[in-house]
Amino acid sequence: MEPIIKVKDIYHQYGDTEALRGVSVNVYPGEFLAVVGANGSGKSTLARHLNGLLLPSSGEVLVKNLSTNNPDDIWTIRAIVGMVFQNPDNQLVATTIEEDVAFGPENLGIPSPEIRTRVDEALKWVNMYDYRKRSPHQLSGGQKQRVAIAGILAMHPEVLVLDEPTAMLDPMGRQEVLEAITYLNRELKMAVVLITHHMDEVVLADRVVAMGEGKIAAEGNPKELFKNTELVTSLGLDVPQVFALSSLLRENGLKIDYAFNPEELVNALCRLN
Amino acid sequence: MQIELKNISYTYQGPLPVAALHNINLTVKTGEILGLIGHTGSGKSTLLQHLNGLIKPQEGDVLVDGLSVKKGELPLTRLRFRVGLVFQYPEHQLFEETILKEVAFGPRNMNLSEDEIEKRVKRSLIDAGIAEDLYERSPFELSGGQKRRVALASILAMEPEILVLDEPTAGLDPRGRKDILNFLVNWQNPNRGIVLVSHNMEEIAAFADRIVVLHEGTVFLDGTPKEVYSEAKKLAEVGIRVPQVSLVLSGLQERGWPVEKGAFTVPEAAQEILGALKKSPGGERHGL
Ligand SMILES: Nc1ncnc2c1ncn2[C@@H]1O[C@H](COP(=O)(O)OP(=O)(O)O)[C@@H](O)[C@H]1O
Ligand SMILES: Nc1ncnc2c1ncn2[C@@H]1O[C@H](COP(=O)(O)OP(=O)(O)O)[C@@H](O)[C@H]1O
Ligand SMILES: [Mg+2]
Ligand SMILES: [Mg+2]
Repeated sequence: MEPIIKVKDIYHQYGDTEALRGVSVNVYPGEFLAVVGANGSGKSTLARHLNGLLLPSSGEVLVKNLSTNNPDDIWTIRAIVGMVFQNPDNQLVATTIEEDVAFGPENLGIPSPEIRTRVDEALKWVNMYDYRKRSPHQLSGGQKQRVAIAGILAMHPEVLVLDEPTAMLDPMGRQEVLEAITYLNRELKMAVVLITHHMDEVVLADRVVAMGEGKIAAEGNPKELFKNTELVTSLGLDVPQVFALSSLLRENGLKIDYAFNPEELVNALCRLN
Repeated sequence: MQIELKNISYTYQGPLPVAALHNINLTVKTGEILGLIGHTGSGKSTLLQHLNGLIKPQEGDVLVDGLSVKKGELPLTRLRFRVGLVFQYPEHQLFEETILKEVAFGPRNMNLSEDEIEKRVKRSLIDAGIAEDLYERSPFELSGGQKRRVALASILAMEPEILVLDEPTAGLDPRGRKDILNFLVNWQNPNRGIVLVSHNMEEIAAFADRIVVLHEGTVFLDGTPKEVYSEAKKLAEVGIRVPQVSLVLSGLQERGWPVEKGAFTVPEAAQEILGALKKSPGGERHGL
């Protein structure tokens, strides 16, 4: 399959700090890609290259074969690759939620009736349609983050890049946002790039890229990554708690598979008896 | 040291008053690690600010070793040295030009000698895991995780008896979380106490001696981690998830396994499961 985004051997320098040191990665249509790595490993810097918010010092980023280095293509690229950040408060600007969501398509010069349709649709996708007339200030963190996602969706992107969207949310807010992301990926076949420190979110992805000191240190299936204890430790990562429990039980001689969610483990254990 | 919240209610005044706490009764003391959980808006941050006098009691009273905050029976400045509050958003706490000055600010206000100030600053910076090459940098140039560490160091430098932390690990990577938690466990002793707010249930489970669950400004549950996490259904009603291993144990219990569902760390859960298998008729088959 032809990738939507091709990142080709990019470097990025902030003053003396070399934040990216030769990163190559593809993003494929419809995939769910997780990006993990220690604080400072270059995840956000990489994310900001995917839609040309940052440009590589060397190397190239191609979005549907358009280079982010070409200023003429940058708006087309940003319509294809949408970006959601950690703090929803900095992303919501209008007085009502629907105005906020309309902001992006308005900037793209979409005609009004079409905007209306897109706003309603986007709010429904993230399950926030009933709140459309409210002010963003009246929302919980998880609701704000879903409105921020709707604002991006209204521009009809093909890739949604989310930089630690759940880091500041409580468990309920986190759950809401993850449900929205999973829906967009599974039902609307939107490609998702999710940067996160939560290993139970990584399990949801098809593929994971682990960053370490500005480079890609590992890439593959999340479940395979977690099995590589040495690598997980050396990258300062963690494993989901259920996975740790299933590993410990295996070490104690139980003949069960590794489990990634509580249900899986309960079923595996019940099959033993 | 002991801090008693007695019938505390609190309403934020304004055009639209917000009732944040209703009739809270709670005692916090040295020698204990208290985990405070509850979803956003449940009143956690408001409660914490009562502990060091940053918010004065509107209704009810706060008693510090029996002395009333409301009646002004103890100086609030001293209370703030003894009960160190690390804010949820470190940006709200940091203001100095350099990290060294930031961390020295508290001890300087305590009228300590320059020698003592310097000693405390260095030790706190090391304890909080801040690299020496950052000392002269502005706290505002740091990453979110680093800011959190500086905010922690600046409180540690006052050598509080009770350390109150409002979501200190949010946004940190797994290793950063572990470092901070391990540090806190080592810091705590019979003469020091910790109150910790976290959304990470696994973290709270492994760390706290006691858990208080807030819901809509009231104390919803108060007990040991075992007691609190065995109430998975009740917790779900107020939007709180229990640790993954607790879900495994309650799942097994529902399927008739003789396991206790209150266990919550990975090794404890493994013990429970292995113990149950050993007791089962075919236990030997599993090589146990
Ligand atoms: N605006 C900036 N100016 C200078 N250095 C930066 C800036 N943003 C990030 N860095 C540095 O670049 C490196 C990578 O940072 P970042 O991409 O934010 O990592 P992550 O998102 O994985 O935590 C870090 O060393 C960080 O301090
Ligand atoms: N400075 C403030 N002014 C007005 N209302 C506030 C203020 N701080 C908090 N609140 C409100 O008080 C309630 C409790 O908030 P808070 O103590 O911050 O809860 P938590 O820390 O559990 O999220 C919420 O409804 C919140 O919106
Ligand atoms: Mg980042
Ligand atoms: Mg709070």
